[in-house]
Amino acid sequence: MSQSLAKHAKTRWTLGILTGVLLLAGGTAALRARTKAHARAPFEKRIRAHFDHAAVITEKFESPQAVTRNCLSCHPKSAEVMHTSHFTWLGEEVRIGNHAPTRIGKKNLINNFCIATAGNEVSCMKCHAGYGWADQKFDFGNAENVDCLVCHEHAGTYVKGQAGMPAKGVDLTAAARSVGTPSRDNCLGCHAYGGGGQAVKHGDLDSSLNHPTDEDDVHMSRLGFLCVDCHTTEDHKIRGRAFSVSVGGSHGIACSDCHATPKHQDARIDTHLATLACQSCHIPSFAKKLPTKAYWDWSKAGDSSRKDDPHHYLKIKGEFQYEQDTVPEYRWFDETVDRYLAGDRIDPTKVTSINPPRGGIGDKKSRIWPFKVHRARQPYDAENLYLLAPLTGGKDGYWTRFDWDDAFRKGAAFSGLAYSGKYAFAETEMYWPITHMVTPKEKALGCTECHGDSRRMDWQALGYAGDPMKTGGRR
Amino acid sequence: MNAPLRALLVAAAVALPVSAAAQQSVNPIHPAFTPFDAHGNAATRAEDISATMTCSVCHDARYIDAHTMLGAGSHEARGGREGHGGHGGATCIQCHADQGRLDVSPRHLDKAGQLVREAIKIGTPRPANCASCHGLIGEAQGVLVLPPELEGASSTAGRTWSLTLGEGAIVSPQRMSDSFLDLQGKSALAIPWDVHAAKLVECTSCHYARNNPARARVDDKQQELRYVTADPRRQSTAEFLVRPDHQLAEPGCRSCHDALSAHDFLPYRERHLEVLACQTCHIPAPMGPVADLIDATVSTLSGGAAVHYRNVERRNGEPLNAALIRPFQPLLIERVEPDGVRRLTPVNLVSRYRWISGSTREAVPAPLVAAAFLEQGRYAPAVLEGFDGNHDGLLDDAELRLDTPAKTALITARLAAAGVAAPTIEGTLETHPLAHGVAPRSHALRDCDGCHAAGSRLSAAFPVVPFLPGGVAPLPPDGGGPPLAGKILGTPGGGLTFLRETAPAAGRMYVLGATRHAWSNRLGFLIFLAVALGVTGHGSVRYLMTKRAGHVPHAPHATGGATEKVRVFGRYERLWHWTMAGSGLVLIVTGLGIHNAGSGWMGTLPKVVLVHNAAAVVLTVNAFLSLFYHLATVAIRSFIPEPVGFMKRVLEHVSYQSRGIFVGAPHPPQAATEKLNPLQQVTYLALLNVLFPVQIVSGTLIWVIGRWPSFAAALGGLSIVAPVHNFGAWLFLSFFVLHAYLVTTGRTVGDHLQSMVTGYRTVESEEQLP
Repeated sequence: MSQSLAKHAKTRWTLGILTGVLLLAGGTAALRARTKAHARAPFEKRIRAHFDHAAVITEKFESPQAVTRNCLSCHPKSAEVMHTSHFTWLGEEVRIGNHAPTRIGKKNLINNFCIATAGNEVSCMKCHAGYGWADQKFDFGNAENVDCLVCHEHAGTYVKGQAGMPAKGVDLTAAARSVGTPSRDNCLGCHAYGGGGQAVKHGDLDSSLNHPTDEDDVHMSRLGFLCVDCHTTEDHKIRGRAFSVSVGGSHGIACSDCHATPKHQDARIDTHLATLACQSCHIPSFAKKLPTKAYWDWSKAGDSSRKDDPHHYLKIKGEFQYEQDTVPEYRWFDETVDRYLAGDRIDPTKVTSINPPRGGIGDKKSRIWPFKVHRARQPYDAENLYLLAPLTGGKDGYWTRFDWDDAFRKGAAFSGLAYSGKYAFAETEMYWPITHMVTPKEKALGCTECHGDSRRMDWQALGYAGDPMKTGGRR
Repeated sequence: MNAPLRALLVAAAVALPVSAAAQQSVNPIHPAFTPFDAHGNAATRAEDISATMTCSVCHDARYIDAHTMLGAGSHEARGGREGHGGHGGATCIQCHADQGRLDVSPRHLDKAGQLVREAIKIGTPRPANCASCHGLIGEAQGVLVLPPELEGASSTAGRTWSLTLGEGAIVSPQRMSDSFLDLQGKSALAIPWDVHAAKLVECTSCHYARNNPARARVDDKQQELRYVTADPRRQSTAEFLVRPDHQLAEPGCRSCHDALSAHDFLPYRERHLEVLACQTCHIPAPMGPVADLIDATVSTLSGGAAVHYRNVERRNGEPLNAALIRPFQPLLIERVEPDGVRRLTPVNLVSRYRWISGSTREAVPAPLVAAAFLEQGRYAPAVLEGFDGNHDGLLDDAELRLDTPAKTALITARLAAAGVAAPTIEGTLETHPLAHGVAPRSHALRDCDGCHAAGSRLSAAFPVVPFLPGGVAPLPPDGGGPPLAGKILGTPGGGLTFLRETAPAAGRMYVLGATRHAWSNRLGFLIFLAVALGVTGHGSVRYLMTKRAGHVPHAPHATGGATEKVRVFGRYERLWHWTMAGSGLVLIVTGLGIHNAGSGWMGTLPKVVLVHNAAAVVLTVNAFLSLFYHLATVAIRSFIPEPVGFMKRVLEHVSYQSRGIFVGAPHPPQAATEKLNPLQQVTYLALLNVLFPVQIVSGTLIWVIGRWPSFAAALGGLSIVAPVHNFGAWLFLSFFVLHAYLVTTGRTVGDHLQSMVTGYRTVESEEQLP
């Protein structure tokens, strides 16, 4: 009797101990799992499906259109590229000022770099995702004119030439066999070289982003981002807005898309979120590795006595100033801009802003953003008082003949704006919000870099009485 | 990098911040005034301006003079002070004007002889003003470099650079990784030199005039006000501007920071915050060049004192900017902080040596000392002959020292020849508490082993001085030196090193894991050793004797008699016993882990302490429950010895254990249900009545001390309680060993164990017979 009791007791003990051990192990495992989930990298590298097209593309291509035909034979839906701004060079319809609703884009806008594309297609369309846009007769309705390769080839040997046609000697077959998800190279091939050269336009986009260091770009170095990880795509419509060619903020990408609740080490930093864009502190400078164009004086062009040097002077373009590792200029910005449209009158005694950012200290939606401001002296019609779009490319253009009057006359045929026969040069500026090349958090701006003796922020110009650390922020 | 290129780079870098140094901006409201010279005439040169004559037209110079603190260089200041100016000899202009001077060139003067508005760049001292004397105080712009004046700086009265040379602080908002200096692990140091500077807290944010009406806090009074939290009475701004109190405030960290709310993560934070200065963890390793010896008994080629650094590694002639700077680990001493609380504070010790005249005790002026060494900008031939050990024509750091009687005699003679009466060397040992150059919290010391371990920064040796100039030992200045508890030992190089006493003393801190109480630790260990040796010896003899006898004595089967099982321990008795054993074992193991924290064999200290505390709670609760059980039932009886014939039975057992057990003598008679033999009864009486309460109470007290500092103060800290607990732990461990061994000395080896596990003891049937 007593023995069976002892045996019984033993079983219970064993069961009890086993349950305890299991509970303990379970708890530990759960805790560990939680810690691990918490410690996971903020961005988990996406596994990108890749199908090796070399296996299915075997024919030899005689023309680029043949490549596109081949692509479409399996991906018929991809003809949708024809409706995207990469192909049309026009955005959605917008209303600007008193103008009737209109579609704007690189096709019809004036900027203060190479000024306008119309008439200069042979040169400009080198970066068009299509084939053969040489003049206004280009067929936007033909799907075969879409250039799939410029965004998708991985061979690294694909180069575009005049009117967007592949350069002479490009091995189309090799390019076609290499296709995949757009790589950094594909995007940067155009976006780092806009304005006629490396790093000319953006200031925060150049080929250093192909292999950046941590300080150059924390997302693309440490975390291995590709452009398309943020610039996600639906129906070939790529997210992202460049305020040089669009005015609104729809389809834009925001830091907060991923960094939903930024936690800074100090509540005093968090109070800045209401007035500052993330970029203002986390991108202390732009053009870190490669200098970007800051000033372009068209009026000095055509002087054969000066020596050509792509960073200082070119006879065809005039005089330049480049800046490297530059402190941005800061402006209130509600993520919309105004836009100078062809034919708008200018006041040549003042600086004409081509895309002035909207917003101000009194507007709660506005935040202080960092900008690259590109300043230029560019031609305008001295009687009609609007900016002129000269014909530059081709054998009749200014770059060949160096005759401004002639170039404006010919340009007028393309822009549709009358040329009075008198021209002069006026100061203009263009705003480029800085948003790429985010620096690691250890290198983000600290207090002293704006407050105190620093001159990074011009408080008065921004509308403050003085340093808001002392005079208080906006109410 | 070759030398010329490096020199060029250094020169270029030095030139940068000088031009960038912005101090005062134009003061829009200060009235225009005429700069006067000492005779009351309009001054024509900046050097001629008398601050007294100029500023006292409006500001009450007498009041300011009487309410001025003497700077860190008070000795020099008292001796060589000329005319007006407290604060180490500084004048109004040095601290309040842009670049420390007023430009009175004609273009800055109007027709009336008054300064024009654009030249009135005066105001509250800016960091750059303070920097000109106190050390490297960087600005946000420019690249941080060490200026050439940093070395040999002590030659100027009041200009001590004490923040940098004394504390290793560089009060700059810039990131260390952006500086020009060669810092160890530089690339990882993407943190500002001083977190306050980085957040625009300027020198005057803390060191303000105490009667400044703009300062809402009145720190001195705040301690004394019983019913109000602040004194709202202020003088007017105008009154203040006439009579500003220049005894500047020196508020501690805690006057702005609420330490308690910021340290939720810290175990025993109340205790830690009570005994630790904030600086101990928040200035863990300054990266500025910090001096151990400023030797003005010799002269460098530039005519200044030779500075010897603690954390700089450089070759001969290498500029400081190119030398490798390592983190400086300060000395931690117990020191009464300005708020009157004694705390562990990081300090640096600087020995300052100079020549004085034996008769007047006056310092020998620096130019005279320089003249004793130099002739036309070079070392005098006689000096070179006496000092240049390797005959390379140069005097390097190791040669330019008065470390032999011959060298000292040579310079003494040269000084005497220059007219100094009885030249004597005087060495002063200065204590510089670290207060500036605070690291951001990400780089604060969070490593428990940093203190709670043998050989930690609490017990590591701290070199005081690399050698003794003239063989003179540095003495703390009047007013007392650091309360250094420990030994000062000589080093092979002729210097001194400080070895901290790790034993606790009355009123001194007991740091778990680092402090060793000699007798409790040693005696406890000796007792444990004796017990361990005793049982090992006893056991070995038993084993050998048994082997010789060839049989196991009194095993039931050996006698061949019938056996039966008798119930000895109830279920609860066994439960409480094993709970006690388990928690006790955990306590002993984790206790050893705490005692030897830092060896890292058990995990981090907070975890070990947590397990220790948890086990202690289990043990204590178990002890009280079982006490209740024993009292409520009659079970307590088995612990109480039967008085009648007690001694006889004790002797029987002693005799059995010491003799009989070896030769197979019969076990002394004991009723089968009797749980404990008389020896055990005595042991357990002591254990349960003395050791248990002592450990439970002392352990609880240690916990209480960690939580409620006021209790700690009443109990005199850990210095009494901790050694008692430690000694008790050794006794416990000894008991454990003895107990485990005694288990095997029953009738059979496994007899006792079996009964405690199953509750039943196997006995020979005949013993049951009457």
